[in-house]
Amino acid sequence: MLIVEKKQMSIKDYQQLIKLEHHMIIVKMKEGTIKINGKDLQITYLGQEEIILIGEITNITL
Amino acid sequence: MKLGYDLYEIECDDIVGMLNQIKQEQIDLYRIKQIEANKYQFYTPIYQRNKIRKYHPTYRKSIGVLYYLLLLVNNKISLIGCITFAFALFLSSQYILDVRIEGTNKETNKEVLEVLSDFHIDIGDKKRSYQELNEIYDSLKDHFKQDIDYLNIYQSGSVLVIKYTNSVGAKKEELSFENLYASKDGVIQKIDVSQGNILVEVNDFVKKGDLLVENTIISTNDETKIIPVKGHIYAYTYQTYVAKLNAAKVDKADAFHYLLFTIRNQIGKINKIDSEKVVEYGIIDKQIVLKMQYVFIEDIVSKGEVNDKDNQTGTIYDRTIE
Repeated sequence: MLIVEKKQMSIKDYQQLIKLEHHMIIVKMKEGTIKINGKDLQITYLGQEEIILIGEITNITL
Repeated sequence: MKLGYDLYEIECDDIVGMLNQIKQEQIDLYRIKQIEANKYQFYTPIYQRNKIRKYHPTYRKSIGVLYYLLLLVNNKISLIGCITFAFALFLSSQYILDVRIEGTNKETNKEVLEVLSDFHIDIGDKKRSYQELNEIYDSLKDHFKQDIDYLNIYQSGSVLVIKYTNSVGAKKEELSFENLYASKDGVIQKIDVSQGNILVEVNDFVKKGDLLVENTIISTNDETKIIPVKGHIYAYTYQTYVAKLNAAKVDKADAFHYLLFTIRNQIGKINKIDSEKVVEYGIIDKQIVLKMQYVFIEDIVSKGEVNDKDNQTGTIYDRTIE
């Protein structure tokens, strides 16, 4: 589940982090992968079931 | 539980792999930030400290309330201080450190303290249970049933508070049924009578012994009733004072002030001096004589009939100073 707010984005029920870069984060979900493009992307919280990202998100590919 | 966090730095080539492992370990990471090529910085909750140490991160600092609490108990002296403080706090909460009585009557306050001492309640005694407070309440109520309308007793922290209000009927006042007579000659200045049949008016001239306030009234059925009498009647009264001094013994320049001072000393307890006039000042038979006339405003009420002729208005008080 994706929750996009003004300055952050929450990815709930994720399975695995696949890629972590400043301009791209790829997360594996049950249903497939989510690719998030942007600038200065950072993980502000990483828990067992949730990732919260901050940064300038330009594109989300499901 | 977001009480405190540790800040770590870690060097790794595969951050993604490490984060996935951390996920498996059920560790929460906050503010993951790349600070160099293969160097990352993040916060973890203090209570997950042991789990994250498996990854050999470099500890930088800690923040949060839990961190400061841990600081207190890390040092032996601080730990002893903390335990002592907690123990003192616990002890102080078990004992009465102050007894506060909130009431208007000082005598009742003293009596309340006496009753409390019967129950061995004083500063330093153990706090009482709700049931014991109820017993004290009942005892105080019994003891002061005539004097107290409202009573509340409770413990606020280590302070035992007793609040009460005096009973309206607690003011004991004896009624007087005696007539009020004039104790001096004078002109009525003010009438302040709350009970009784007033027989005079303001500006009336009254003589010593005149009846001012009567204790009887006659009803429309011609029945005579005796009523209580209470009040004050103020009147202008007149007094003349004379003081003499041997002219040979005193410097004439100081004589007037000396004589005036002597006369003023003679004036007894009166309500108010309305006016003070010099009637005569001179040398008579080698004596310096000062004659002053005073108008006083004083309460002339006297209970019972007045017969003696002292203190009449117009009496000349004559004093010769040797």
